[in-house]
Amino acid sequence: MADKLYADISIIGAGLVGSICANFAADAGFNVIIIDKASHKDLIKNDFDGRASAISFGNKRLLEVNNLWDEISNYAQPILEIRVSEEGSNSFLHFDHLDVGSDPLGYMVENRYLRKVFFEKILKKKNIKLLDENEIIDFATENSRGECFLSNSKIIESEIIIAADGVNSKIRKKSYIDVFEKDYRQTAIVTTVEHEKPHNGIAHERFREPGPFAILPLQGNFSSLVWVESNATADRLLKLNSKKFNFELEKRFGNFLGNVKSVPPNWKYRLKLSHAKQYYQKRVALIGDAAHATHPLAGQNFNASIQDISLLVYMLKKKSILGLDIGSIDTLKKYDRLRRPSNDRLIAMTTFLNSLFSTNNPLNKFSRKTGIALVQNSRIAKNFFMNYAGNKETKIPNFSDINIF
Amino acid sequence: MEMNNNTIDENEISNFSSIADKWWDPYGPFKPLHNLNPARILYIKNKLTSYYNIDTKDPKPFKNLRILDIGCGGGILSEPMARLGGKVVGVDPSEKNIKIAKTHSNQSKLKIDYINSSAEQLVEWGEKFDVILNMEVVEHVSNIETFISSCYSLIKPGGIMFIATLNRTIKSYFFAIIGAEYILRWLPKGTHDWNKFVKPSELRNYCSNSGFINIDFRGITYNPIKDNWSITSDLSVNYIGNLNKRKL
Repeated sequence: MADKLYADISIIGAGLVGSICANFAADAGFNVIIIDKASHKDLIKNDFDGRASAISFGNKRLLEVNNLWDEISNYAQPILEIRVSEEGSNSFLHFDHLDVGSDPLGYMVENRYLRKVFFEKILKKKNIKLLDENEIIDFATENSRGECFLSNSKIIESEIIIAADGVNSKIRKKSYIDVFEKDYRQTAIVTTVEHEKPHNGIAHERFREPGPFAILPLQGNFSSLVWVESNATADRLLKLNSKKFNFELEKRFGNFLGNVKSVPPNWKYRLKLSHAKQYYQKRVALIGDAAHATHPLAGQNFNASIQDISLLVYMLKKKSILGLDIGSIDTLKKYDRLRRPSNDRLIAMTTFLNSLFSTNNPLNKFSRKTGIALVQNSRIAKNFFMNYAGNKETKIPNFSDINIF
Repeated sequence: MEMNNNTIDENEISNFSSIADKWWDPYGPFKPLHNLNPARILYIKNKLTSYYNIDTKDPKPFKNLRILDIGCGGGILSEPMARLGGKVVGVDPSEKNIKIAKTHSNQSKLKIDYINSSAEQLVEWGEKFDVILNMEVVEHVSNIETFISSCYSLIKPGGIMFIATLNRTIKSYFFAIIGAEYILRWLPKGTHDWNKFVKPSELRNYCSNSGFINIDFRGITYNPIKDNWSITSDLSVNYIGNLNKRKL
């Protein structure tokens, strides 16, 4: 007899997106089961994820209101300025936090810290059950319930299945949801860089022909580097010994922060765009990379994912306050309808910027100028680089205190 | 077995039975009810939590209430009431509706007592409830006065009844019959008979004649731009109200 567990919501994938979702949903009063094939001890290991994430000011507020920021703030580096430039020329875009008030433009946090904090919270909440080292084999969505079948023959029954299982989402594939895909034919080398001089909270986004090169401030004299190259160049660079690698790094980084050296390990991510044509299927909602994954050049995909979670949990809570079925198709359709336009814009903008600088033929030089001029339109650029739209428009929900009266 | 179903209109039952399997399709023939549901549940929850002094944050605010849903159909109001903790009895004169309601509540893992019966039958059985939901029913019964007084006997002293129906106005003719049934095709043609619609003044009389007090009616109005329903002061088409049976 299979072991059957019940929850209001089952979340597949306990990465950053899944674990924020579990926290928000639990605060909203739902019973949550979150499933991941890795063990949680591995998920919070320092060397599990070498990336750092940019968190927009609006999303920081959201995490703060929902008690997920306090511990993170110890590890967060405020972004005070953003400088965007084309390699070899002056910056064509410049945002200073003092232009918009005294708040930072956003924060940089290493993913390992985010994971640790989100997991600590998960383990403390009584209405979240973490099933790590459990793999989902299949699921069924008949009879107004979602059933997940796990590798150890456990069955999870819930009103809705939330897929936070990443860009290659198994749930999405098994739901027969098509994706729009595009291979950027680029690889991001992600590493932490130690530098001699302080970065003063300035983020640099440099557009080079092979791809963007982002220097993002971390605490202390460290920055997170997202260095995009063609696949072949990246593979070659990553095979170099550390001395040669640092030489190549310095060549591109420059010496404006004094001597620089990479702090191993280096991480490699092949870049591709993937956008689900539908964010839902009967009893299934896609969030985060399972729904949309785009070029990391402005670090806004994670911010978009946090907005997915926030909207979805809010909508589910509004349903449950009225005793309505939280997983009904009308909710899921509405979630798709409300999230898609801003994710579309994000994808269009990243793809556009990436291609704008990625070639050197003369016709493109011309269109690049036009493109840059277009980007300089401050509102579009601001919305994009600072996830400004997300900052302002929404009132920030406190999930433990949602009332619709 | 002889059924004492003196307020049930046979034509009305077969009307609804024929589309019963579509009850739970939010885009099917009962779409208007699904759309209407959040607004009326909110109205009910607001009233009940304030009337019984219940914390609105309680996930099971109705846990101490025995609720009767008359004309429960496929259970689209009974289920939310049960999810909010209510001990719900749903009655419907259509056997097919009851079957669908039962099947669906089993799938939803909710305990609801669905009975293919009528208000009059429950009176005979001596059933009593804290709350009666009488939503979109009176415009379908054959004798409103008798029906309302049956409801009155089913309520515990101090209990509360909710009632929602359609006004008999020129506007409601255009909106509910021409608009909803013919133009928007929200409802199957013949769902409603305009002549059976009830004016608030008439309903108020029936209710107070039966002994109900604190009768309060509000409009419940569709906003075509927002595509949702809300409680308003406009009673000209759909209206909703609550009324009490005097405490002992």
